[in-house]
Amino acid sequence: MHSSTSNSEQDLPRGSWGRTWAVCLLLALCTLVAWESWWRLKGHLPSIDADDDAWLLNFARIESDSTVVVGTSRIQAALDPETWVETMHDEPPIMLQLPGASPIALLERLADMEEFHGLVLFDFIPMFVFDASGTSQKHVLALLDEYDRTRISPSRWTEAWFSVNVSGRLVFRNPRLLLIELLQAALKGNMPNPSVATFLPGRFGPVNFQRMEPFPPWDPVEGFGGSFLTAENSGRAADETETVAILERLERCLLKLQAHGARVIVVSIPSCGERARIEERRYPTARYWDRFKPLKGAMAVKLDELPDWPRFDCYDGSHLDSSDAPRFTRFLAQVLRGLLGPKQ
Amino acid sequence: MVFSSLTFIVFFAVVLVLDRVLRSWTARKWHLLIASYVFYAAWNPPLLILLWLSTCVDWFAAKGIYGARTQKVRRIWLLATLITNLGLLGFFKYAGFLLESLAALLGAFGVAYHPPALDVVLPPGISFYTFMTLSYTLDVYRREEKPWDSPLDLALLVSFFPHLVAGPILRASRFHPQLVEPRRATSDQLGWGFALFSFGLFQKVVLADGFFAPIADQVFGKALRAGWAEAWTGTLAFSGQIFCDFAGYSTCAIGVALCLGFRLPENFNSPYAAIGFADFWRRWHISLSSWLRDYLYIPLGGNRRGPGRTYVNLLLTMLIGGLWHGASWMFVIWGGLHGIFLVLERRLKLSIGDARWASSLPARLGAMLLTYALVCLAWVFFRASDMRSATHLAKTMWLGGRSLGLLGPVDYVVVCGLTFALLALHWFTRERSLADVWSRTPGWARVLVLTSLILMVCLSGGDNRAFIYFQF
Repeated sequence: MHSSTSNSEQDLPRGSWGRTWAVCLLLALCTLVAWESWWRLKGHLPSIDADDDAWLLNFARIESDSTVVVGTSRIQAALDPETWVETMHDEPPIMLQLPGASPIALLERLADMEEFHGLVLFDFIPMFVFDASGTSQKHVLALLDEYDRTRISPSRWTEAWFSVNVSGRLVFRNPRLLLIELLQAALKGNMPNPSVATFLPGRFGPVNFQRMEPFPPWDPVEGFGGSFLTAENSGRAADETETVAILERLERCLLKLQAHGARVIVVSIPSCGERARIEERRYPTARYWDRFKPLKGAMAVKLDELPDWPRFDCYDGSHLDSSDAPRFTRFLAQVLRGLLGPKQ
Repeated sequence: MVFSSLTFIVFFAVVLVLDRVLRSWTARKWHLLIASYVFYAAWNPPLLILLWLSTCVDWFAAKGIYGARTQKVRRIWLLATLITNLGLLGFFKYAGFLLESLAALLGAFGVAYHPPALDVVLPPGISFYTFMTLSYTLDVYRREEKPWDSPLDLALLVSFFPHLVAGPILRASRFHPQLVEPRRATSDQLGWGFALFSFGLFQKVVLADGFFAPIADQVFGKALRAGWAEAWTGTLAFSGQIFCDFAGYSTCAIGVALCLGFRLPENFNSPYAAIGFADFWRRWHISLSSWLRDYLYIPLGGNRRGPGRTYVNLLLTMLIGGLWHGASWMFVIWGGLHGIFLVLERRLKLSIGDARWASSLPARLGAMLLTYALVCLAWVFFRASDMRSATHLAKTMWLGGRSLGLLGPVDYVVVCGLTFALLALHWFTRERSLADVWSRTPGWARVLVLTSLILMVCLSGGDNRAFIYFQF
């Protein structure tokens, strides 16, 4: 296509444009509805592709008394928004967790927000908090930088809103179902199956392992897209000096948050099976969690050490299934109420 | 706000409805001016001040030049507008580059100089609207245009949102009559305008972003690992990407303006079917190349002062044209290469003369393919992130190199197929326009094409890339 073809100096093509466009739009609309229905019938669900946009919108929503969740995908899969509302009698929390991310930079940003006196729920995984390679901090830092650069750009925000609230509600806008990806998949002979994880507008991310083919248990090393290999190879465990530096950095911002009235509750959601063994070998509890727990400024709790911890099936060693999320959320709400007092 | 965003679709729908509702021509011009400022401010509201500054300076400079009694005063006014406009452009676009280049130069002489880190935001479209406002004042200075009576008209010329951030670069003399005479889009203009907008979006969202960009990014991102086939495929992919991206933007701009009843100048005309580089620059980014011709090449003397001076003028014009694209030596090299090709072509034409064989179909086709191959060679320097990557790719393309598996078989098929289709289409439409082809298309086929375009745009475009020329 070349735009000489759009030479506006020449005579314009004539015709019954009104009728042409009406038929075109009607045909396009019908085709899109049929296309959307087809994928839904095949089991695909709407999912927010633009997670960075959703994160930025969530970050912009923080108010002085908000409840904010920081951490990793583990808590994203485990929290059920409806159960949260029902048990905490509150709005769903603002989800700012990121997959495989260390939340230190985000905690520091919250600590710098003097007016913030809400609740921070911190999903603690030593593998990411004590990663000295810097890999686990990159995404958070990039998003904070993006927020700072674009916060005065109205079009950036409207586009983020559209991508979350319009594209995110249509199955055919799922990146795996876009035309070019489908063409490539067809050429390779493997059409996409319904996703295991779906991302909802509030950045909750239920994982439905029942959709997995093959269904667990998987290979103990390469199972679930190499999740165990990721645990084995990602980042670099902090040495003694680095550990002390990270602990000091964390305590500084926890105290700062406490100083302006915010409360931080740190929960450690257990992993299990092979994944738990790898995490324990690389990041021993005694060396990391036990030294983090007594830091001032936060209440820290290892959930599986609580006497009434309900056991969950742990399909990929790390994330809860969506059918377990309501039960987990109820349990967490009970823990939070216990730590925060009856008013919460 | 980019044309391919939902934000723009909503914005444009509102603008169009208001434009149809308002009756008075002045009210509709005010409406378009405010809409244009909203469009620009949507990126970064404070940058609107630069647009206002540029408009005000050229308004007063043109009046000053026209009313001056002596040549000296006229020159002072001209100098004032040149310093302001080029000064703003220089500061926002080239300050960091100049400081870094100075540091490198001093470093070569053993002087350590660490320039301050400038955290300057590049205002979108500054290169485009600077050239446009300059053309207005320069035309008044050359007595080819009188200063306009209405500041509203000048403000609208500078800020008219369809062309504001990536052209086509308007000429005051051609746009002025459209602002003076009341106009409202006819049903043909509306219908064809929407069709052009759909064609433009298809080029941008489906072809440039969907097919070409991922492959070009893959090769140029790991340029040092590319073999012969990968270097060529990556470069062909970029040649397709930049054309579909920029021509797509221009087509959208022309379509949007047409829906509002305005006609913008053509910006592309089957450039990859060009036979030679002079022909290429008559077909690629026409509004820029004609600006450079009228306000730089011809004032430098053009081809009126002998062959030697002509070659120098050509080289200088293309080097500056290269630098206009961005603050990097890679763009200068790209411009320099085009300058050299133009000089060589000029010399070659002198020796070939009017030979009969030169106008035969095989010779013309061969010349077109050679031109395209050399254009691709120059694109390597335009796209590569650094000199090392560019020279490696260029060397590999022409001297060969071992492939390291950067691309899969599907990528080769996609790029070769689409490039062939693009070249064939350009060759077929060398002397035709889409309007001609469309006029001869039956109604059912029009419906089929437009529906397919809409569907393909809706079903593509996950990553929402900005238009390449926004950075210029």
